[in-house]
Order: sequence, then structure tokens, then C-alpha cells
Amino acid sequence: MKGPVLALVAAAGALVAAGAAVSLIAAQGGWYEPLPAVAAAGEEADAGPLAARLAALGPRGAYVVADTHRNRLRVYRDGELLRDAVCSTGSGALLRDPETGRQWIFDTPLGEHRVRRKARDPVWFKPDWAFIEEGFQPPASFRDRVDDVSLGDYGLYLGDGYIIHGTLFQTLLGQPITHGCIRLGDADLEYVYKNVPLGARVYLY
Amino acid sequence: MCTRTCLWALAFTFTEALAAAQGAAGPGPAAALALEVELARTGAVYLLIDPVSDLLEIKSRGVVLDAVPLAGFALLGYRPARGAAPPAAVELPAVWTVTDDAAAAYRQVIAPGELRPFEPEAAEEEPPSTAVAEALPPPPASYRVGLDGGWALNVGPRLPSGGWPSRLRHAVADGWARWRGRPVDERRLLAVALAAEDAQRLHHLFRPETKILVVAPPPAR
Repeated sequence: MKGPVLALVAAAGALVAAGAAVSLIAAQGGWYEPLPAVAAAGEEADAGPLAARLAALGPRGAYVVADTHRNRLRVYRDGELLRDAVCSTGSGALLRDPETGRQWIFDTPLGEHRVRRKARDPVWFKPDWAFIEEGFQPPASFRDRVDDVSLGDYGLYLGDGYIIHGTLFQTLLGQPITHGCIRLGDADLEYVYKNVPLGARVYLY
Repeated sequence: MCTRTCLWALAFTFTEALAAAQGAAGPGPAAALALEVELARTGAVYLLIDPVSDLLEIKSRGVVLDAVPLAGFALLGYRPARGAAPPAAVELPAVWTVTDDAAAAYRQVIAPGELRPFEPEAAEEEPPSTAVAEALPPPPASYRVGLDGGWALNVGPRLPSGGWPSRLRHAVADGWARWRGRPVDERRLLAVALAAEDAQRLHHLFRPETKILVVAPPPAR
């Protein structure tokens, strides 16, 4: 009879000790709880003019919206969807030059841009990273940097070297594999070139 | 121990009721619109969280580029077990600025060991490395992003549980970490519950200087 009683007492003692230990540890910690939210101080203004100012900041006519996660590019005119295309956007990869330590991040730049220039049969002047990525030293000869094939039939230039252009690797469209540019298939690129005017806004997110 | 636990439970219940009561009286739309006009001037992408319509919108220049449904939203403050200071009220609408580069930990690094002299013939024989799609790990569905002012954005499939068992677990985990000399995250949280796919597709938007506008307090539910 003594055995079971002693075991019970020991178990109860162990439980109390464990509870005390948990309590001691918990007392060093904390937790999250809801914060009260209140209206910001100040007089309430008329929302109408503000809504009008916000609307006035938006685009007019044709504009482009590209989702860099899903790799979709859509063309709108005054809010109406005109074209929904598969594209490829920046890989997000980071390239390091082993000789100079320079770094490049291949992100597609988010936010609003404008079509600054349009070109048929665009020519790409390959920057240093295009060689370093392939394990080559950048060539001294300018001629070695000229590539009149890779960008496809049309180019819409967004500034800072970012272009909406074509690709030789159409089966890879829909994947984030570019250096920040936006690649389109041939038919979609032709549509964008012909329907998105110079100066049109391009929203990348 | 029971008494202490009961006191904790009472404290939680009281603060939740207070938050719900104050959250119900939100400001009108003009204050939020005034803040959004300032954000929209820049042309940058910003996020607008509207807990009343349960929407998180991705916007630029006032244009809704995309929207994802919110499964939940809460403003949360850290309360130390030994500190009973009431949490400070948060004024809404308000704008937060991302301070972290969330994508940094998920970047593929291309680092050639050494560079060889350029040979046009060799370059033509080898397909460009960008022609090969690398299998990168998908972005996470649960993560925390640093914001200005001692805040963080907590994204996950559900909001941190408010029940006392969950808080006790949190207190034990934090206490254990502190006991072992590890840092404990005490930042206030904008907690957002999203479907996994939505959380993953938003992940790359959290770059330094991205703005988040919360237009109204979460409604009492």
C-alpha cells in the first residue's frame, strides 16, 4: 500500500515542480495582445476633392501593368483590359564579379515607369554583367558587345536599361529568369508595340 | 499559480474588449485619402490595408494593380509578463515604411570562381545561363518584415491567437529564449492573415521604403 501512495506523492511533487519551473520561465517572457486603435486627431475634411485629386494622378489612355510574381503583363485602356499576356521578369538573382567585387541584383524595378522610346529590331549593347554571368571577362572591343538577335522584333524602353522586349527562349516565358527586363512572346510583343504609345505608363509590381 | 493565471486571463479579456470598443469608432475616409494622395504622388508601389472591407490592395498612383482578400488583421503589442503597462493606442489611418529587404534571404547568388578571356566562338556555343530556369525555393508563406517606428509586419495564414493558452505558450517560449541569452522580438505588430499563395506573391514587394497605409481600425467582431 505504501508503494502506490509514495508514487502518487512523488508524481504530484514532480507536477508542482514542473509547474513552478514553467511559471518561472514564463515570467521572463511575454505575449502579444491587441492594441486599441483610435481615430487620428484633427478635423475631418471633405473627402470629395481628395478623391478627385487621387483619381487625377492615375493614367489616361493605354497603360501597362505587369505582375512580377505571376509573370503576367496586362494592357489596359482607361481601365478596360485589352490584353493579358504571359511574360518573364527579373530573377532576383545576385551576381558577383570575382575580380572587382561589383554586384548586380536582377530585380525588375517596381513602381511606375513610362515608355521613353520604342524601336523595331532593337540592338542590345551587352553590359559587363552579361559577360561576367557567363564566366567571361568583359571584352575591350565594342563590337563584341553588340547583340542584334536576343531582344526580338520590338523594344519599348523604360529607362535605366530596362526594356520590354522579345526572347529567343519562348518556352521559358512565365518564369522569373530575366535580368530585370520584361520579355514577351512574339505576338504579345507586337501587340504591345502597336497599342502602347510613347509616354504611356507602365506599372510594375 | 492558478490565481496568477486567472488574473492574466482577466487582463487579456479586458484589453481585448477595450480594443474592440475603441476600434469601432474609426475616422472618416478623408484622413486616409489625404495620406494616400501623398503616397500616390511618388509613383512607387504601396500597399493599402482596409480591415473594414477585408482587402489588401497593391497600388501605384492611386490605381489598384491587384488586390488580395484579408483573412484577418490586427494591431498587436508586446506585453512582458512582468510588466503591466497598458499598451499605447494606435492612431489610424497611418502609414508605415518597410525597413527590411524581405527578398534578400531568397536570392540566388551567381558567383563565378574566375573569369576567362572573352571568346566570341565559345560564347556562341554555350547557351546563356539565363536560358536555364533555376529551381529556386518558393518565397515563404509566413514571415515577418521590419517596419519603421519599432513595428513589424507579421504575415501568416492566421493571426496570432489571443487565447490565454497561446499566450502562455508564447511567454514560455520567449522566457526560455531569454534564459538562454537569445534575443526576443518585442516589436509591435501589424498582423495580417493571408492565404499561403497570396502571402508568397506579396513577399517580393517588401523592399526598403515600401509604404503600407492602414486606412481604418479593425472592426469589432
